[in-house]
Amino acid sequence: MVSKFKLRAKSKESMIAYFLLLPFIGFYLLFTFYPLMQGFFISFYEWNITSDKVFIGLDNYKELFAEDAFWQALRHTFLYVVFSTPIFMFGAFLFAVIIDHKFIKGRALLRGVFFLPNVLAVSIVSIVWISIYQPYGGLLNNVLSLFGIEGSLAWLNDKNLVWPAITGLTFWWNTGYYMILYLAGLQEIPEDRYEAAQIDGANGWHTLRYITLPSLKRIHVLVLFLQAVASFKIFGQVFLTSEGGPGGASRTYIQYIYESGFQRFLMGKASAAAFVLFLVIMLVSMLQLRLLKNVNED
Amino acid sequence: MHRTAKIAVNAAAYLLFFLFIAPVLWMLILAMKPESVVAQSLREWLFSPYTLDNFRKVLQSTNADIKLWLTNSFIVSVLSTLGVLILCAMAAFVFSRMKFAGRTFWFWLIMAGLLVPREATLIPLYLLFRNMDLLNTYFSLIAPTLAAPFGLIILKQFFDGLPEELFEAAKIDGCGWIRTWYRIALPLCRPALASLGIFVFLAAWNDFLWPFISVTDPKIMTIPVGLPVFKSQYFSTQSLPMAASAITSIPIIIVFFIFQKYIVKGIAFTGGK
Repeated sequence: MVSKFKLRAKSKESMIAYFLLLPFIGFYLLFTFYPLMQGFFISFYEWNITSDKVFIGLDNYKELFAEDAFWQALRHTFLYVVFSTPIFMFGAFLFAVIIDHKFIKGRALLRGVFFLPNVLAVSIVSIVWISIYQPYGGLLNNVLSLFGIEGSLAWLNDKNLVWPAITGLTFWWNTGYYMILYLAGLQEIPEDRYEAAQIDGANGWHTLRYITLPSLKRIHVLVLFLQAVASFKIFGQVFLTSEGGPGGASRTYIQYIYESGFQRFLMGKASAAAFVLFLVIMLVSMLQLRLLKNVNED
Repeated sequence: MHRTAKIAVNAAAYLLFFLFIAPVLWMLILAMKPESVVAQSLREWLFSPYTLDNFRKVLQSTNADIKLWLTNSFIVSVLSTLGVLILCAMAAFVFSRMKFAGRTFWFWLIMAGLLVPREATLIPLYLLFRNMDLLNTYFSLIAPTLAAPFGLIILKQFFDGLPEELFEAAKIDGCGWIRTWYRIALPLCRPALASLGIFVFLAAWNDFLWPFISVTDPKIMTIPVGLPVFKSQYFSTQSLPMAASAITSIPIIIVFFIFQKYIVKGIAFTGGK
């Protein structure tokens, strides 16, 4: 009798659980899980939306890996991740350390302004920075000329300048977010560690090197991976400012997917490229979980 | 720290502050230049006449309806936020407090979604909405955002932290699961809901790639998709796109300053723990 009652209570709990879960699971399966699987299947077909699907096995992947434009887009994106990530990390850390000092006047305002660009849509950011990067009359070249650097540099139209320009724009746009993470980390460092260091006669550099930096290990890992994954998915600010130019010099990986799928209508090939993106991001995320686990166990 | 060092650090902080605010000031300055002004030097930009005409022109523009796009952005963001909060709060409560068959399976299936970037599902998602004939609808903009594994895990952590006695007491008093959810669990997690809500709202407001792909009808466009359209129609001048940018940043900047505390807390909460 007792077990039967328990069983009924349990099955009732299960029913209610599924009732509450249903909307989430429904939307999740339909708009995340199914598209992921579907994309994987489409990547084995030749298909341009209007034609019939033709199964071609791994040909899309072979074609992808044989194409210069694919490697070019991948290389751009990869180099951007490698070069911009340390810059963003350093910037965010520097901002956080500066405004964490109690003697800084108006800390809340500074924090707000450093974070503010984050809330602006990529389209607004792009319109503003296109104007800043104008060769003639743009803000940046104007400011540079105050320091005697003339030459009307075409920031977005020069293949050597376009990536520094995009890195600068993105630095302005996103650093504040990671700064907040660092600030949260800084506030968790126990005050007595600093006091102990002071008694031992440590100077500012020593405390930074031997207390602040090592105490933030968790945040370093977190920022590193958040930024690396975000950088790998870079698209909007490039597409809207340089449009991938000049001559494909700033074409990103997502732009390659977009062009293959929505301009050339190579659905299979674009899906193959998207699946490669998924694999890369999955590997990076798993590495992150691994590292975070190690840090937490320290 | 020495007095001079303190002054130096303060100075550095305010130099950075100025560098960060400069692009916003630049936007406002250019937004207030008469359309005919094509200045070349900084001095010309700063000292040529100012006008508010551009703002009026932008708001009255008939071939690019900024007001409609702002409204669309607002509707889509609010519905997305409410949807995410409700779905995630329900699912998080179930995973945190209830026992049921298949619990582990569903939990890990959903957590695996944390590894799936929206960008990787772009093409099948587009095909799905195309097949359902639902491209160019609010639904196409809202639906894919709703089941957010990220939101679920944040709220689950919060529910996990609530004392078990509370729920036992509710059970003894004969309170059913659903009532426990909305009478006890939900009100207690208001701070977490607020942080997550701001987060989702900002993300929805600023989303570009998916709306750019799924919406081609100007009537359904949100601001991030509409602004580039507007800009391409007035490419000969900088002042009108700048005025449009300024007008459309204002609502979100206001939201930011009102909810700054929650945003900062939310980021610290999601990243720090």
